[in-house]
Amino acid sequence: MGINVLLTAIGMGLLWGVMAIGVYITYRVLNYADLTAEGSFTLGAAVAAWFIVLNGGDPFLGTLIATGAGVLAGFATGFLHTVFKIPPLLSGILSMTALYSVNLRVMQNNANIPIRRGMDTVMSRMTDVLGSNERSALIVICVAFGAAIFNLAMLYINSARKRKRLLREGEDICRVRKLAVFIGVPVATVVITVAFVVTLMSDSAMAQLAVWFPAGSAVASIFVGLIAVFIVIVLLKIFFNTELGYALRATGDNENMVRAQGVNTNLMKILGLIIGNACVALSGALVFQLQGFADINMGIGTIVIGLASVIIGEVIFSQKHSHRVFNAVVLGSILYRIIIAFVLNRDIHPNDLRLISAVLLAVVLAIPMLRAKFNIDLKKLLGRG
Amino acid sequence: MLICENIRKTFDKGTATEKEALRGVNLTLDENDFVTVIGGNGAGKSTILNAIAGVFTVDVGSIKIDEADVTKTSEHSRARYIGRVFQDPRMGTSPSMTIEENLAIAYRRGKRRSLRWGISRKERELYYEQLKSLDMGLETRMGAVAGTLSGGQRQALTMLMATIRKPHILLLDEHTAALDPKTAKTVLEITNKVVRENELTTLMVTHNMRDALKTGNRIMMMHEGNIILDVKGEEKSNLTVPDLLKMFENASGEEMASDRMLLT
Repeated sequence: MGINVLLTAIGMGLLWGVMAIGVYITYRVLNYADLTAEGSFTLGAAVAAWFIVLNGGDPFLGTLIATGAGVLAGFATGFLHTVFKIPPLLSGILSMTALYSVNLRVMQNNANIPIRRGMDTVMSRMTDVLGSNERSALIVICVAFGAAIFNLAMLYINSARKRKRLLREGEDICRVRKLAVFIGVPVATVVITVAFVVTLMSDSAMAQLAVWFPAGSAVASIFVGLIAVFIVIVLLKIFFNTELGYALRATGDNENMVRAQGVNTNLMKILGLIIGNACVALSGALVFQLQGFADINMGIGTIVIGLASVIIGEVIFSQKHSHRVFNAVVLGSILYRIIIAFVLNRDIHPNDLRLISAVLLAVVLAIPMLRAKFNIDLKKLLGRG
Repeated sequence: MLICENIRKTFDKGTATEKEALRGVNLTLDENDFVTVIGGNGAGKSTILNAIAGVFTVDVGSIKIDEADVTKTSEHSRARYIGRVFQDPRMGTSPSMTIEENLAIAYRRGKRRSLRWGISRKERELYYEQLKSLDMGLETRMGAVAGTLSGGQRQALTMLMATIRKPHILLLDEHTAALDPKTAKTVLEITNKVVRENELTTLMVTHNMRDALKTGNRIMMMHEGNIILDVKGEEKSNLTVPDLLKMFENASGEEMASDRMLLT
């Protein structure tokens, strides 16, 4: 698997990761199996295509309007569910079905709208920013360096804080972690900084990086994806720590309790569906600009991909119910894309892709059960021994 | 404080499972009344609590809380007047949210929720003190999710959530029934303390006759969707379990059928 395939997979994973976050909000936070995503993903792409391609509008504004369209789709589903008391699955199916026609109308009765060469999109703007291959490589390693140092610093600060708190109660963090953080982090910082400086100084290294990270759609999609994911996650983290955010989280968790505490759970459900579908539509608009066309059928399978990302993220990065869960979901989405890229690289017919996606999701869904079973067996063995 | 007039409620009307749960209940609570409600299975004890809380709207009759007619209002808008603790310890808290987040949600009962931070530093101090007064060790675990708490701890937390904003009426629906006897005793002690300190008007359903006699200043007995006995003050404090049984027989013409009530 070449580095370009890997970069493309990471870029796709980030852009689709925004959709996975949306699915996480409805499916996990709100506890609502929302099929609207299948329609609202295409809706995002369709609205962006209508605005950017058919009307020659500004790509950023087009992406924003597409996100707004997702808000409406989420509201429609929420309205059907809360006002007419239609069950969650059916409300989603109704919206999804209606959206098929809506999407065709938005695309001016075209089943497919391609982006013509030289057209202004979010991706082309990012490619312009990257400039030459050399400059692109420089930006990549500077950002990577910055991110690494930032994460090391955060790890250090958080551990120091935790240790201070524990020491006050007469305890200490475990020795392994103490060594890893208070010796490992400074050492790693020095090593990374030296490697960074050496790479910058070496012309041959930079030339190699320019080959690996050229100013093309793969690197551009990674940066667009990083920016989109960053903005979405920051906004959501802030929101879920507000009064309304608390009420929304509790609604998915225990409706009885929040109602007893004076929260209108119907409004909360609509709000959750709006936020979720806005994320899904935003992702659709970005994926459209990456792949270069909007297609009426591009939303098929969205839910499976979203759930696979959510569950891979939770299982592999075991972040269920934690404040880092959004990061895990995006990482799950990236991992999913890498697995799919790997599979496609093995000479597998693209028509089998959906079957493989479904099998992959089934395997991932089975992991917690298999793990539990394995643990029980282990205990039995230990008990007998 | 609370006035219920001629409340009627029939569930599953017109079907084979039709049940007339409330048959014209009249109930008036005075300020600072602490009423215990007893009665057999299906007598309508929980139903009257749910009618007051607005879980369903009543077929006939009216409900007034502090002069405000809430008969037709929704459950969540009535919540500003009412604090509730449920029989099932899982029902009162959000399991994936932390203790302090649960309290923060309860602290805003009856208030408009906006995009302000869900919890402030000042509130945390208040919650710490309040949790400490429960004496269940919860104050050191404010960042722990409620799902990790025991049944007794959850009921204590729910009790605090129901009263952290002083409710006009506190509704307790067999809130000690799912706990082991020792924990039930602790939670009942907390209940008495909280009600006394905040001077709350309380309606407590229980299946335990001894608790019902020991607790509060007024006792009511329900039978087949009606209140058949209402004793308060000194007369109540002189009552014994055999007295209650005899009164039940006289009022209903039947023997007390619920073994659960006699055994516990």
